[in-house]
Amino acid sequence: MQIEKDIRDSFFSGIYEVMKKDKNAVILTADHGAFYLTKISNDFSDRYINVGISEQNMVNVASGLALNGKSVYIYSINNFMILRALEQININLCAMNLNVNIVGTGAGFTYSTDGFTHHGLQDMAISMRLPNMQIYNSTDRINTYYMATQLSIKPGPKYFRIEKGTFDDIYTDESKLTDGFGVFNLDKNTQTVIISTGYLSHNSKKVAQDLSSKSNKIGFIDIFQIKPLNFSLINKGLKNIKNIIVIEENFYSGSLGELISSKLNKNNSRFLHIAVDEKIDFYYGNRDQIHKRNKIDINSLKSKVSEFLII
Amino acid sequence: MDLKNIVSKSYELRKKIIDIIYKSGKGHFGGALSCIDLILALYYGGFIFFNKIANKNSNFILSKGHAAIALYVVLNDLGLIEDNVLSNMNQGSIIGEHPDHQVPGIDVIAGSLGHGLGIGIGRSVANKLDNSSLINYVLMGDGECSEGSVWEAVNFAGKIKLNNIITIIDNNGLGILEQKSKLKPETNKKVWEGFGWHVTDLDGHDIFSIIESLNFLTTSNIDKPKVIIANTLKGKGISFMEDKLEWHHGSLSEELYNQAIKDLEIYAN
Repeated sequence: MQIEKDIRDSFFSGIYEVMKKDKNAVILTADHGAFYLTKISNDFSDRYINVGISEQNMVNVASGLALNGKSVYIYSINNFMILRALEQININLCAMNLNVNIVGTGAGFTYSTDGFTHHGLQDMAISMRLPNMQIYNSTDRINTYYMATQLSIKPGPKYFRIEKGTFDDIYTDESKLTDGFGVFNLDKNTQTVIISTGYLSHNSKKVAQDLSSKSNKIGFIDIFQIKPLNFSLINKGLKNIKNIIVIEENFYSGSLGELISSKLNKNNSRFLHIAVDEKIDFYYGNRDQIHKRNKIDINSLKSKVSEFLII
Repeated sequence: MDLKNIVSKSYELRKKIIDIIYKSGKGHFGGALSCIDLILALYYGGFIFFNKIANKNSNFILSKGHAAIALYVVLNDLGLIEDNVLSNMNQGSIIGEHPDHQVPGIDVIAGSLGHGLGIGIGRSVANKLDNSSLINYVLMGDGECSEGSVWEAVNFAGKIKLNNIITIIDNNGLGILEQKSKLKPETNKKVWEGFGWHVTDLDGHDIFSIIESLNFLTTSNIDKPKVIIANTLKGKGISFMEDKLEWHHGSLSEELYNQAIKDLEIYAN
């Protein structure tokens, strides 16, 4: 199967395949569109419902469908689901452990010109606190298609943070995706590892490549399965690593870096966390401009990492 | 079950509610006593179906979760909740002030208000997809209707003309802090009709009339979601609790317990 180039299309083309096979799969949207979703709405019109801009109700309706044996997909913008419909998700999806897939766009500064209402800087940390919730953060079209076709069909509540647009492939068709993370340029000579997730994985991978040298080989890990975090397996790769750096497009507090930091044995390694300062900033521009302002663009990342490594 | 027996259950199970809450120390008297007749009509009128394998009901949601005791005593009467479980409510038991899906006969958590209608609507959409003729019933409180999520659900069901959902509002007119106006928008017939719902209002303690309406609405061809605004009395059956704000939740002294039992005997006759 040829995977769509656009990350969001790769996800929904995967869902299209799932819906073709599974007559119990139903998709709801809170009036949030996507190119490939239109194809789903045309070809599976009885199992596609636009519930209108009503995310709390969408979660509740999804709960009812799931209680009656449907596997449900609900689609909106991350903040409007996780923050607005948090209680519905916590009680009806998580406490009842229902088979509902939350699919959202707007990770980090995806909607860079849309302001604080649309910036997904808190949703990952908040959803990480939800019992039974599985969280996946898309990196490229390969792991995103895998999420749709292989992970979304598993039972229980899941949260898929889907990127928009076209990205370089990090994974290959043959990549081992079952671990929930990908390891690059990591061997017995590696001294430093940069860990990242989502959009910033692309920047972080580049930072690792550009700063890597013979004297300090820098590896890179992309984590796309955020919860449950496959930490014991990730940690095997970090065994002899001197410097561990986590880079993410989230507020610092409660997110991936804090979680990894809490699990690391600090006696063996140094740790640096680069994320977004917890401030409300009414500033609009393209994603790179917003990254520069928050000092998580490639150049800022390079200088922060360099300073940490003193190279 | 014939009407006479259901009416006698109305007394019997009210007494059980008082007994259980008295023993457990505290509980939600008011809302349980205002909606018990509605639950009796649903269960003994033959509207609720059980999935025997899962030991769950398939088509009822108690959305006003604080009235759980009213549902527990019915499920106990039906043999789903054991006597010792019921009598230990709130005292190290699988049942407490609000229902959850692990309790035999119950499949939806409630306690936070405003969720049940949307969930019931989801189940009704599922029934449509499965070509099932099963109707879903959701019992809400009138106070609960202040929740915004209720109106998202009302709007959605009206818009898609979801004709296999019947919601019942226990319109007892009392919140926790204040008496609500009888003219409040949440239970205004015209408001619901404006959202595309078919509205029936009735006396929520007249079991005959509730069953008659449920029969009519369940079998009717009206192509709309349906709401029954059931006018009730909070604390119904116990003179000192009726229409009294302070009996939303509370505990009984021995003296008041004896008074309540005496009141119920009068109620039974």
